[in-house]
Amino acid sequence: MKPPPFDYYDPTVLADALQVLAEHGRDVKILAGGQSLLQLLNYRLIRPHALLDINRVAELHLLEQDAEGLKVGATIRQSELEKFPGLAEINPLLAEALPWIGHFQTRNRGTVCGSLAHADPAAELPAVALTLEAKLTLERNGGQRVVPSRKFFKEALTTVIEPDEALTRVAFPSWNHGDGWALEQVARRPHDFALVGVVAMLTPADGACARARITVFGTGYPPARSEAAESFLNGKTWSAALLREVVARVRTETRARSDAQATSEYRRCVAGTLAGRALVRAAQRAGLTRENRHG
Amino acid sequence: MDSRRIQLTVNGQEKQADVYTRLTLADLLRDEFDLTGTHLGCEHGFCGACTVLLDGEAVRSCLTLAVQANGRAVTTVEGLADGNELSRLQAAFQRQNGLQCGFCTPGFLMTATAFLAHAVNPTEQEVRKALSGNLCRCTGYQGIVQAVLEAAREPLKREPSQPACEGNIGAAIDRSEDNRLLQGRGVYTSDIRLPRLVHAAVLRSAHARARIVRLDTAAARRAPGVLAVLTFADIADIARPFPQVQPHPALNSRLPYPLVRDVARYAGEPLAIVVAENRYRAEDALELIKAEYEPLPAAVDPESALRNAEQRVHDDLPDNVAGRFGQEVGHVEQALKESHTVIKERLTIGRVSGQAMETRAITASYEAGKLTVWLTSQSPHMTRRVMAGQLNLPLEDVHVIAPDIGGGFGPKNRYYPEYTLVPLLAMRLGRPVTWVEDRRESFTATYHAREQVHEVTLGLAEDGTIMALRDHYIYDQGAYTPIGVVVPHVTSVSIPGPYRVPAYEVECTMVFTNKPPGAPYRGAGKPQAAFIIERMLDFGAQKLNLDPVEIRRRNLIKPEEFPYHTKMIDMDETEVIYDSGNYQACLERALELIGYKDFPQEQARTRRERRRTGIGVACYATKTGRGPFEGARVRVEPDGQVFVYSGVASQGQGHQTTLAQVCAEYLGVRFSDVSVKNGDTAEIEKSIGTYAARVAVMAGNAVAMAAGAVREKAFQAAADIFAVSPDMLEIAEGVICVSRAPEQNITLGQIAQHLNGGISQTASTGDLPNGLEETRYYQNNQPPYANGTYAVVIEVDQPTGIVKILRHALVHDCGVMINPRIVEGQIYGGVAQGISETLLEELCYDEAGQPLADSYKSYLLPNAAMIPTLMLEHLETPSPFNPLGVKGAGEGGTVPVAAAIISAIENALGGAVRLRRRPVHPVDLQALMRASESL
Repeated sequence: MKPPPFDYYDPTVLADALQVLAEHGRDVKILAGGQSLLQLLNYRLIRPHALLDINRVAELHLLEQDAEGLKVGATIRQSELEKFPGLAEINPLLAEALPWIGHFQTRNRGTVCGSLAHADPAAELPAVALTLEAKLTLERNGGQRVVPSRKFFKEALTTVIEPDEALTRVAFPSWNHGDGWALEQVARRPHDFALVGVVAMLTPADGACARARITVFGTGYPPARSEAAESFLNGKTWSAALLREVVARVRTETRARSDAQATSEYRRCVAGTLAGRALVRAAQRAGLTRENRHG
Repeated sequence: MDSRRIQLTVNGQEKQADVYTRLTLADLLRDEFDLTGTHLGCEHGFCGACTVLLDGEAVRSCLTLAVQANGRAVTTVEGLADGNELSRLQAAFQRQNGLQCGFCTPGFLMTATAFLAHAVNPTEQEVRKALSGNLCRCTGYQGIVQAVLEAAREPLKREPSQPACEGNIGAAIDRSEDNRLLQGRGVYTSDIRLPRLVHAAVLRSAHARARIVRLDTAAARRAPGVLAVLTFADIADIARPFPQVQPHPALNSRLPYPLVRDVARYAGEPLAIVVAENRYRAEDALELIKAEYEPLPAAVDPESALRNAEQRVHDDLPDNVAGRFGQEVGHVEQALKESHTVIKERLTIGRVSGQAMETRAITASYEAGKLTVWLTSQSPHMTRRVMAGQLNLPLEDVHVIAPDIGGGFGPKNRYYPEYTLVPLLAMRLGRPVTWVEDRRESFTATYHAREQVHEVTLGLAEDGTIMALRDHYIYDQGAYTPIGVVVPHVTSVSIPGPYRVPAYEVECTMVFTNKPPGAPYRGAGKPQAAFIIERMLDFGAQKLNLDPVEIRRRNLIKPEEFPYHTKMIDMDETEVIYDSGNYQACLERALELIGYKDFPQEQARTRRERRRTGIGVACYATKTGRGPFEGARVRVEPDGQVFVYSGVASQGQGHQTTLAQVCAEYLGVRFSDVSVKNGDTAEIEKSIGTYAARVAVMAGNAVAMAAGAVREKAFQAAADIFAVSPDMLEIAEGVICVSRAPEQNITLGQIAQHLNGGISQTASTGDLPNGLEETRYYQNNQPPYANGTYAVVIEVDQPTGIVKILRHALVHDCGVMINPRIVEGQIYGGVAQGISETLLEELCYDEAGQPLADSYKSYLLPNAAMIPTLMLEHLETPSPFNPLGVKGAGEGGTVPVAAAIISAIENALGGAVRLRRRPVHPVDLQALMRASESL
């Protein structure tokens, strides 16, 4: 299981990197952390003509928090973000989600943007980006565009990134203090890929749920917001009956595929369960409930 | 090809290299810098064996390119020790039995080193989480977790290490293997470096069943760096099918050629082999071979294969029957009629893959008419015999060495196609050739295990006494019969287990399918058998409204009934006789450890918390120490060093420690003076091998005999020297003295020198042959039976079907323990494999016969976060069937686990679902729970 041959580019400035993409486009794969890419290469499931190693591009090593939010450049490792001072206050959902990704050895190499660009349906970061309504910056030779997360993921392992574009950074909007959050996932083995998972966020106002966000991932499709469940919840006062209805709506509107690990039916049913669990924790954190357990 | 010059620091040393840009960091370390302590276990980032530190941070070196390490600092396992002084962590691994085969160990050490650099007083749970990205197949993680916890604590004042003389039988001493393995100095087959070594890769059938129309190898032969390509046409002159191991009258023996001749019979069967200057180029060339197939209908499900002649694995066998056998003890039909309660069930057992952390590998060198082979073989002597036959070489020209082996568990005991092809290529090319199975190949190229379907009938008296048991079952043999009827036959005589079954009828049908052959894997037919009898007893208890433990108590064979004659006939036509044991005592102690009596209150409490917990118990008796013989040669050198030579190869069991302990005891020398050299066909003429929990029993007794014979010979020589009778002598720590005149003494080394002819001034040696050395073969066809009870408390997360082990206990009796710590390591690992094949592992196939797993992403092995600490105790009922009184310990841990866990799941659900299949997949369990009306 050795990688096939490829040309190798490791420019030090972004313009050169974008030039490589402009010239070779479809035949190039960008190497950032390599934790998914090297797997695919070792299995020879892909055969890119060239790798574009962006790790030496200094401009991409960007990690800063300002009034607009948290900006994470393309070469920031998952572990770097995990250790970013004050992350638990800056963005508690990211702080909760990051330790779920792979293992600490893979987070030492794997990048935040790489996980988003790879768009594995079972990955946590795409679901978190979708929940946080992150903005993704795509750059090409001579231009850039900013894509909202809801328009970024097209299919499993497919995003809107064009062959001549690179995802250069992601911006997570500023955290609204008072919001509740939770990530729940189920795996056959602790700390493993999710069979299915849910990210929830609740914005409270006057003791009610002003705005709910529920994202289901690990379905075989790209992560998806449960919009019917969200809009049902929006503006309502928290109750057990309300939660039961939300769980049912998540089950109804979740699309899921069957594979060797789980059936579509299992994923839809458990997505509802996990949504319930995530919402209870999020509601507790948002100060909406004191209840501890729901089915 | 693109290459770069890179500079980096490795273990503090400046290094530079010109590397291909596609070279991984792991291969840079192993092949360019010869730092072979970094191991490749999966090459897709899941096993963690290749973990190194990059600028102090743990990373997977298989998922990092060498060019990405340019200008950075790498630390490997070779950089942990200070000279020969182990680091705190390494020393803790040795003390806590944190390693067995040692293959995964460097990765764990690097992971834990990185973790401990930041962790402050970590909890056990934190340690388990930190280690959860590394896989170990041997230890069940128990020793590893304890070692990391120990290393994390404040340094304690170390006890001075045990005096070496305390290394006799029964001493829980450190393993002699560990120091080397902990420093990354193990030499596994893939670490063998020979001048001009070239690398092979294998093209495998993409179809489960297909006629090979054409294999166009022209482009591959021309590819850069390629030295040879072989297809069947290239070996037709010498090719012959493998010989049948363990022939049997009931068997329709079918064995493969080393390469597919006309029809491929499973996806993964080898079609061609390429040799190139390195593995990268060999894999490039594989992609250039054009294979044209004519796909044929594949037999995938064994039951439909029996009925469907279209799906024919072998043309001449329309019903796909590979063998059929059975026996009856007592009168089953009559006993069923007389039974109070009769239960009929259909129980199925899924297919698994052994998955040692080191894949199979072979390195062959042919020089001056002699073939030398390093091989991941559990039985080098058996391999040598088959290899010599396959290659038309005289046996004496073939030398097979089993170096360090990274776990075996049974699948490495077979003969595989590469073992003919790689030596053949070495002979034809005139240069050494190596082949290392990759992880993807391991799922189809290495033989599988376990798959069976049982139709069982159990007859019980009103009080739960077993009246009769009938079991007709199917064994999915896969495409060939590499080891004949062995596995299903073991099942057939193991189903009654530790219970009295007065009337027993068993019939097995072995069915060919288009899947890789089935072969022994830890327990070899016994875990299936335990699953059957234990499930049936649970069902019986439910029906009779008995406590599941009570029905077991009432049927266990009692201590006074030993030796217990089962009247069953084993494969070698001898009766199955259990030697000794106290089955009740194991059961009762396991119940105490798990808290069986008070569990109902505990269960009620957790139920009030809306949690579903359950308890399960399973008993087992397992045949160990399979005959017919094993040998040992013991030799004392003039410097007093004692060498033990045995044919049995080690895959992590610590034989170099335990066999030395036996020798120290029976010869009368210090443990530290004994070195064990095993697994080399040049060192002893005959051997059977390492499997069926047989080494302690067969090789252990052989060492005892040979050591005793050397001692006798030494006493005879000393008696001549001192002019006394041998019975006036005694020996301690390698010094023989006259009992009543201790000043008259001589060392064994001096006697060896004397017997070698090196001392001239002493008395005649009579007709004693030269040298202080003896070889003995221990023969025994009366195997001892180990036994025990496993008890487990689990929690089912009802909405998701996820099962979590909360606590578990095992009380085990393997007779006299040569080294209790090593026994415990075997049990921990066996239990972990049992848990794994109950809750995680299954190798499923689609309707076309394609495997649904080819990676550790799709085939899950347990991690440290999943296996809690096992409460383990021993009973020691010596076996009267062998001089040492030992019973094998290798398989017992695996045998009872599935039955107990599944019983516990049913218990947690209050009997609302019935589980008839293993493994238990959360998706299936959740569906059963949802379908149940009472949940």
